[in-house]
Amino acid sequence: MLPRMTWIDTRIILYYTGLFVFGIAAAMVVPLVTGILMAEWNAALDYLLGISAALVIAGTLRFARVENARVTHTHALILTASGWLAASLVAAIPLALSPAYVSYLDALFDSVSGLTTSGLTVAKDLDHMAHAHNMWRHLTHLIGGQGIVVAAISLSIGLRSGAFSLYVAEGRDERIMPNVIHSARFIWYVTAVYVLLGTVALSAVNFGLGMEPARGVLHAFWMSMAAYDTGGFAPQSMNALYYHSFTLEIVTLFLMIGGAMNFNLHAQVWRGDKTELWRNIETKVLAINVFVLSIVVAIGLAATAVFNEPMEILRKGMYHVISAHSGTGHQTIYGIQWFTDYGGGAAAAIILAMAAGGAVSSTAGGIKALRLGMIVETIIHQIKLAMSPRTAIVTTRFHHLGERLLTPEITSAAAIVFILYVITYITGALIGVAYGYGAAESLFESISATANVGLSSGITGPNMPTGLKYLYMFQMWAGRLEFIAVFVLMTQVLASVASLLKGKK
Amino acid sequence: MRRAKGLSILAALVLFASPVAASAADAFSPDELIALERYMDGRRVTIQGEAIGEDLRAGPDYRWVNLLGESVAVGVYMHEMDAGLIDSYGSYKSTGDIVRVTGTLNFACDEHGGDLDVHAEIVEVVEEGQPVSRDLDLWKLLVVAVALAVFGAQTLVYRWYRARSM
Repeated sequence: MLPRMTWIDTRIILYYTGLFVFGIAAAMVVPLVTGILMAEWNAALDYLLGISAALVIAGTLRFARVENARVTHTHALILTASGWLAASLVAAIPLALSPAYVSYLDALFDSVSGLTTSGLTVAKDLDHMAHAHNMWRHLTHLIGGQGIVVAAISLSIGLRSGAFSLYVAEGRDERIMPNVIHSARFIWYVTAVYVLLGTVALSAVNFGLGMEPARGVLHAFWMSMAAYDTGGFAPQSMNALYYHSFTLEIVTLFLMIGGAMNFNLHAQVWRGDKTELWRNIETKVLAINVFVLSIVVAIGLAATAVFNEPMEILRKGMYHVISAHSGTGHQTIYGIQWFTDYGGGAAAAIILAMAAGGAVSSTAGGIKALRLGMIVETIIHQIKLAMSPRTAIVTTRFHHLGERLLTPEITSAAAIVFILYVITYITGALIGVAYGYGAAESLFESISATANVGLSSGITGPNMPTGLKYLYMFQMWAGRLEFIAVFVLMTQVLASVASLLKGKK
Repeated sequence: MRRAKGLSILAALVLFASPVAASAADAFSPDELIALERYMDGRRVTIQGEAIGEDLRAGPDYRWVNLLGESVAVGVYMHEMDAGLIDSYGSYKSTGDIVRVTGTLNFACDEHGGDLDVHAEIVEVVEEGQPVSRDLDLWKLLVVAVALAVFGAQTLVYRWYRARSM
C-alpha cells in the first residue's frame, strides 16, 4: 500500500511550487530589461505579460500556505518534480508569444530543454529572434543548470526545513559544505566566476571578429552560460559554427569541461587540494572516456576520408566528444552529417559519450562518471571475489573526495540509475523508430534528450511529430531529475486518481 | 529526404551540364547544400540565401558571411570588398539581403579547420533586405493590466486572510 498524500501535503507542495513560479517571474525581469535596452518593444511586452501571468499563478498558489509546515523527504521529491514542471510551463509563456515559435507546445519544448540544460530546440527562426528572447532561452540554462531548487535554497525563500532533501532530490548527490544553504551559494559562486571569465574571454573574441560591442558582449554572455551550464543553446541556428573561430572553440571547451566537473571537486581545488583532481575516480573515468572515445572518433573520421589533415580530425573530434560527454551539445558541424558524412565509428563514439555524461553534482547530465566508475569497480570486485578462497574477505576501495569502501548499497544505487537511463535511452529510440526514423538517428536523439545533451541527428525541429515532442520533453525532465523524483510524483498522481475512482464506486 | 537529395543531385547535374552562368533557379539553398553527395566536394557551386547576423572578420581582407536557407545556414568565405556589397543582415529588426554566391564547396575545408564552407568567387545581391516593422500588440498590454490588477487583488485578500487566521 503506497502512502497517499493528504490535503495538507498537497497544500505544502502547491505553496512551494508557487514560490518557484515567483522565482521564474523575478528572473524574467532580465529579458524584460534586455528588450527595453535593445528597443525590442514587442518582445519586452512578452516578458511583461509573462511576469504578470506568473505573478497571478504564484499569487493563487500562495493561498495553499500551511503554517509551520515541515518539508519531508517525500514532499521534497514531489515538489522538485512538480516545481520543474511548473517552472517550465511558466517560462514558456513569453516564448510562446514570440514569432519564433509555432505554438505553445514548441515554446514549452524549448523551456524544458533550456531548464534541463539539454539544448535541443524547435525554434523555427533563431536567426531573427529578439535579443530579449535569446536572453531568456540562455538564462533558463543558468537557472536550470544550477537547479531551480538550489536557486530557491540559496535565496533561502522559506525552504529551510527539508532543504537537504530538496537539494538531493534535484540530482545533487552530496553537499559541498556542512550547511546546505552555503553549498547552494557556493554553486552559484563557482558559476558566477566561470560565466564572468567566459564572458570576458568570448567578448574579446567577438570584438576581434568585428561584432558590434553590445551584440558581442551579449553573444559572449549567452555562449558562456550555455557552455558552462552544459546547455548547448546558441543565439544563431549554426550554433558555434556561426563564429568560424578556433579561439571561441577553445574557450567554450574549457567552459564545458568546467561545467562537467563535480562542484565538490571545484571546492576541493579552490581549498588548495589539487591532488583530488587526479585521484578522484570521476576525473579518471572522464579522462579515460574522453581519451578512448576521441581515438574512436578520430579513427571513424579518418576512415570516412572527409578530412585531409590530422588537425582537422583532432579539432572536430575532440570538440564534439567533449561537447557530448559534458552534455553541452555545442556543435561545429551539421547534425545530419553524423550519419551522411561521418557515420560509423565517429557517430557511435559520440552516442557513447552522450550516454555516459559528466560528473555527479555538476551541471552535466547522463549516467555520470562516478556511477560508471563504481560499476566498473564492482565488476573488478566480483572477479577478485571469484578468484579468492571462500573464506577470504575481499574489500574494494575507491577515491572520491576521500577513500571510500565499495558497499552493496553504493553498487545497487549506481546500478539502478544506470539501468533506468539505459531503459529510457532504448525506449525513446524504439519510439523514434516507430515514427519512421532510422534506428541510429532515433537512438542518437533519444540519448541526447535523456542525457540532456542537445546534439541532434536532425530529428528535432518544429516539424517533428507532436508525439516525439512530448516524448523528448519527458525524457529531458526525467533525465535531469534522475528519474526518482518524477516516479514519485507519477505514483502519487496515479494513487490519487485510483483513490478518487474507488471513492466514486 | 531521399527525394530531396535526388532533386539536389539533378540540380547539380543541370548546373554543371550548362555552360551558362547559374540562374536563380539553379542555385542551391544552404539546406540543399549540406545534403549534397560527397562527389560535390571541391566543385564550383552556386548558393543563394539570406545574409544573417553580421559579417565576421576572417583574417586580412577576408570576411565570413553566413547565408540562411529555410532552416540551415552556411558560412561563405569572401573578400571584404564582396562583403561590402551586402547592406542588410537578417536580425529581429530586419531581413537580410538575399545573396547569390558562386564559389568552391568544401565539405571539410583544409584552410578553415575542417568546417563545411563555400569560398566565394562571384557575389551578387539579388534582393535587398528590408526593415521589419512590428506594431505593438496592444492586446498584450490589456492582458498585463488585467493580470496585475488580479495579482493586486489577490495580495490584498491574502493579507486579510493571513491577518484573520493569526
